[in-house]
Order: sequence, then C-alpha cells, then structure tokens
Amino acid sequence: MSEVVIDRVSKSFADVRALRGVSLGVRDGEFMTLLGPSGCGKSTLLRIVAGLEAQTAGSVSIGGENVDHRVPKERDVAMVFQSYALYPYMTVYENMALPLVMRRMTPAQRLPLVGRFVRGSAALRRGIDANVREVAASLAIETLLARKPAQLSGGQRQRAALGRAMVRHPKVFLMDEPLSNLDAKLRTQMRTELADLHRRLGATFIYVTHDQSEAMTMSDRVAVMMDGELLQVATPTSLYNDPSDLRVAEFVGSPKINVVPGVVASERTVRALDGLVAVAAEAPVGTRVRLGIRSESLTPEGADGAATFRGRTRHVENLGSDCYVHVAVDGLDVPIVARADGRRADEFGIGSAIGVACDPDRILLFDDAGKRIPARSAVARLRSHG
Amino acid sequence: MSRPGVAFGVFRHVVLLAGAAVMLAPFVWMVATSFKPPHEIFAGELTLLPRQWHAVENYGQAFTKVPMLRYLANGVFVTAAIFALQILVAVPCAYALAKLEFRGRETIFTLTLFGLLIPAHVPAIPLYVMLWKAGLLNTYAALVIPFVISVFGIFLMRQFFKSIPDELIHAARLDGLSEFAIVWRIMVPAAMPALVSFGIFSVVAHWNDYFWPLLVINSRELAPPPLGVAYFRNEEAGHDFGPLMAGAVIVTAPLVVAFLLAQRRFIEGMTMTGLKS
Ligand SMILES: Nc1ncnc2c1ncn2[C@@H]1O[C@H](COP(=O)(O)OP(=O)(O)OP(=O)(O)O)[C@@H](O)[C@H]1O
Ligand SMILES: [Mg+2]
Repeated sequence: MSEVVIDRVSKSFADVRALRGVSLGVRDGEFMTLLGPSGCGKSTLLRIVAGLEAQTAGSVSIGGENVDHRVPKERDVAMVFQSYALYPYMTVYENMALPLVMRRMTPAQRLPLVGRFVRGSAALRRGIDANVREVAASLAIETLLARKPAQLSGGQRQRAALGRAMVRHPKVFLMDEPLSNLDAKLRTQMRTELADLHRRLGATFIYVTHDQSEAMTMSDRVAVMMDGELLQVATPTSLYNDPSDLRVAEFVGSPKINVVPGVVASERTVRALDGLVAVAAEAPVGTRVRLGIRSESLTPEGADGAATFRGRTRHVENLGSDCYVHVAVDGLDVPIVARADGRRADEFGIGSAIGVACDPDRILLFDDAGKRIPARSAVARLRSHG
Repeated sequence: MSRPGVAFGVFRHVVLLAGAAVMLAPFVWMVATSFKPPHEIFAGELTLLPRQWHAVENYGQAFTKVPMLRYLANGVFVTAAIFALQILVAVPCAYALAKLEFRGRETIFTLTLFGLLIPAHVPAIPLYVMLWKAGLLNTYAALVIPFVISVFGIFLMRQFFKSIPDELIHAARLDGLSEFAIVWRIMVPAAMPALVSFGIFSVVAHWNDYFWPLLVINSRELAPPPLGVAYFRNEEAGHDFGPLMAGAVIVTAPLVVAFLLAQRRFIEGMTMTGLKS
C-alpha cells in the first residue's frame, strides 16, 4: 500500500508563508494532480513529500508510516523534475543505473576499477543491467543509452528522466511539471503516455502542474492550490461542473468562465446586469452574488429575442469545431464569451448588436467572498413540481 | 564596415600589439640571451639572434652546475600537493556555502570574503613562527601547509556551485547519494571549468613563488625552481648571464607549455570568473 497522507503541513521561508496548513490524502495507486498558479507552493509541497525540504509544521506519511524523520532515499519515492536534472557528465545508462547502484551495492562494490573484484558485484551489475535495459525498452530509449543528456532532444531527456525514476520501482512517483519544457505537440502526446504509464505501473502519482488542461486530462483527482492553501480536491468532472470556489472555477476550464455580478431578486430569480435568470439561490433576497457562467451555457442569438445579456460583438474566435463570440456588455469590463457551433462563425459581424441566451441549469453562484452558494435552476424546480 | 570603423580597428590592434610587445620583450630577451656567448651579451650593439650560438654550453651549464632537474621535480611535487589539498578543502567548503542551509552561513561567507582581502605576505611571520614551533621549517610540509586553505578557491568554487541547479542535487539525494558523493560525483564534474581555472591560478602562483620558499627553506635539495635559479645566480653564475638566462628559461618553460596546451580551458576559466549567480 502506498497512500500518501499530508496532514496540516505548513512551510515558511524567511519572509514567505509558502504553505498554510495543507491536508491532502492521496489514495494508493491514484493519479493526483496539484494544480495552481505559479508561486502557490506546489513544488514546495512536493519537495516536502520527497523529504528534500523540512516542513515547518505538520506531518507526512507514506504507506501508513510517518516519514517525517526519513531522508529522501528511505522514503521510496522517485521524482521527475521540470529541468529533468539528469547528471550531465553521465550517459543515459549511467543516469538510470545510479539509483540501483547506490541501493544494491556496498561501497566497496561500487568502487571504480577495484569494485568489480569484490565478491558478488558482477552478479549485482548484471541484475542492474537487466533492469535498466528493461525500463529503457519500455520507454523506447534503448538506442540512446550510450548518449550524454546534452546529446538528447527534450522529449528524449524527459524519457531518460522518467526511466531513472522508474528503474527502482518506487511506491510513489512525484512529478514537478515534467512536460513544461516540451513543445505543444509532444506535450499532448506525453500526456497520453504518462496516463498509460500510470495505469501500467499501478503506482501512486503526485503530479504538479499549472496547466489546467494537463490536470483535467490525466488525473483521477485534482487538488487546486492557491496562495499556499488547498481550495478543492475533486475529480476533473466535478471540479469543472461543481467548483466550490470562484477561484477554482476561474482557474479550471478554457476559455475562462464568465463572471457577472448580480443580486438575488426573488426566491426563484437572480438579476444579472439587466437580465433576469431563473435560478433559485439559497440566499436571502437582496444578497449580492457573482454568477459563473461557462461559455458553453451561453448561446449567441439575435439582439431582439429573449436574450439575457445584450451587447456588441467584439471578436470572434473560430476554432473550426466551435467558435467563441466575445460580446462587450455594458457594465462589464471584460467581454462575455459565448460558444456557438463553428459553422455559425460567419454570422457574427464585429461591432453589430447581439444577444446572449443563458442556460439557467448550468449557472454557478458565488458569494462576495467567492464561496459557492447552492442554487438550483428554478425552471427545473417548476417542472419537478408540475 | 565603415571607414571610421576600419580606422578604429587598426588603431585598436596597434595599441594591443604595442602592449603585447612590451609584455613579451623581456621574455624574448631572456630566450635570446640564453643562446649567446658572454662577449655578445655584453657587446655594445643590440642583436636579437646570436652571431655565435652558445645554447648548448649555456643550457649544459644550467643543468650541470646546479641540480636543475631536482628543482623542477620539487616544483612539480610542491605545486601538485598544494593544488590537490586545496581542492580537498575548498570543494566541500564551497558546496556547504553554496548549497547547504545552516545557521551562520552568510556570516562565514562574509568572513571568507574578508580572507580574500588579506595579502599573502601579512600572515607570513605568524606562519613562520608556527612552522618553527611545529619543527617543520625546512621541509616540504613548510612549503605546502600554509596554502592548503585557499580562500580564493573556496570563493571561486562557491560562485560556480551557486549556478548549478538545486534540482540536480535533489535528484542525487533521492537516488541515494550521500552528501560527499554529491560533492565529488555530481558537483565536481559539473564544475570542471572552474576547477581548471582555479588550478591554473594556483599552479602559476605557487610555481613562481619565491618569497615563501626563501623564508622557510635553506637546504638546496628542497628548493623549488625560482629559489634554485636564485642560488644559481648568487654562487655559480657570477656575471655569467648566459647560463643564468638558460636556467630562467627552463623554469618558465613548463608553465608556458602548460598554458599553450590548456589555452582554451584557460580562456574559458578567465571569462567564467564573472559567473552568473
Ligand atoms: N528556498 C526558498 N526560499 C525562500 N522562498 C522560497 C523558497 N522556495 C520557494 N519559495 C517561495 O515559496 C513560494 C512557493 O514556491 P513554489 O516553488 O512551491 O511555487 P510553485 O507553485 O512550484 O510555482 P511554479 O509553478 O512557478 O513552480 C513562492 O512564493 C516562492 O517564492
Ligand atoms: Mg514549481
């Protein structure tokens, strides 16, 4: 078993509070992603789990055992770094063999030149060789084993770094933005490969990224961090559809969720700008709220219809399958983004008046502090009553 | 290139060439003199090449009148021992100052910087007294021990280690390397250019050192090359400058050859001391 439990971990540097009481349980074999903007403390948390940095308060246990006083080597975790951190003066083979050499061989057996005459070292070397070649084959880098890191492409370095982490079959893999130095195409391809790898190894993965699409595509669960705090831990689906905090809603999903100020107008309606939407908020009438509306819940339509919002077309982003229409609305600094079928892209003239219809089922309500307010679509409630 | 550009280029090269000529002239003269017979050295006119070659005699005397090979061997042994021990001390110190976190690290580093400001001659007398009390005067140890801790070496290596990413050290810790293994197997190979340039500074300084050997050595078998040449001048050569210059050439040659062999590394080392941090 190799679940990781992070219990109220805090970390302060001289003048920065990098982590403020973070608690997180990662299940055995789970792919957990730490997602958050730059500087929120993701790497710090990962280094604390690895034992590379000591927490100021709190504790970490791996596989049910408290590891606070164990050095990194004894925690049975492997880490893949953003810069890959391959040893520049060793070949890929030596890079991958080193963790095994350090663990399996005695100092005498490790000695250069003389070591091979120490009893048992030849057999150990053969075992290590077999392990390295097996892992290299599974990553399709057998032909690169004799090269130095400088002679590899970014993607190949990435694989070599993965290989070095994999050879000793650790219980837990820690990955700190391992894909961020790759080009876009390779990054998408590696996402699939990493997800496959995770399924194949069955090990626990803790993966750090600031790229929400990486988090959404690979993870079993995502932990969203901001300013050293954990905001929400949930599956990608519920993170997207059921965020507990406005900051989570804004961070997850592309294009960014539309945020419109509003007021609870009645038991069944919320007034947003000039429009009324049929949402029953669990908050007293008159409460100021913010509506989070994803672009796919908004449909551009004629300015005359029963549109919720009205404005002028500012910009049209045509992606082929979909198009995103940016609508400048009075009273809002940023345009509202609504999605339409890609085939409609040419209908929207820049600068012309346009209306936007809103699906009340999918509206998320947040209070002034950004906390989620439970709400139901009033239309749905009418239906269920009727 | 525009015309003023060309003019400036020419001007610049003329200035540089003149500077190089001023620097090189004594050496050229030394080599030329080492080839000349005595009467040509004291002749009224200046000629670069000797009319009558006297190289064999001069160099022969330099090797036979004094144990020149012994001096060279002393020089090699002492500079190598100094450099090896300097590395042994400076590299772990530099690693600790650059990459380990402990209380007082900045204070210790500041003190190290202070050490850089103290000229080598200032602690000469206390060192001499200490060596005398330890009974080490007139030994190889007296030539080596005072230089084992090189503040400059610590500083240079620390600056270089700073530029090596922490992630590399983290990876090594996870792979199970001890701190000592990290220093010698990860940091040192990565810091080779810095080590080479430090080596050049150290070897040049200690190969050419005259002051300290003069103070602590009085038996000839222990003399390093510059001191040996000095003995030569005082007692053997008299006014015979030919063999003396031959001796000087022999003493300088190893450094020049080493420089030519390691030229590229040397330039790298020189330009790298500016170091990004
Ligand atoms: N060694 C350190 N000394 C002082 N402050 C530090 C140190 N390491 C990290 N910090 C601070 O702690 C905070 C969190 O840093 P951390 O590296 O964990 O961020 P991150 O979420 O990984 O960001 P990124 O996505 O940019 O890697 C930052 O404000 C950072 O400046
Ligand atoms: Mg980071």
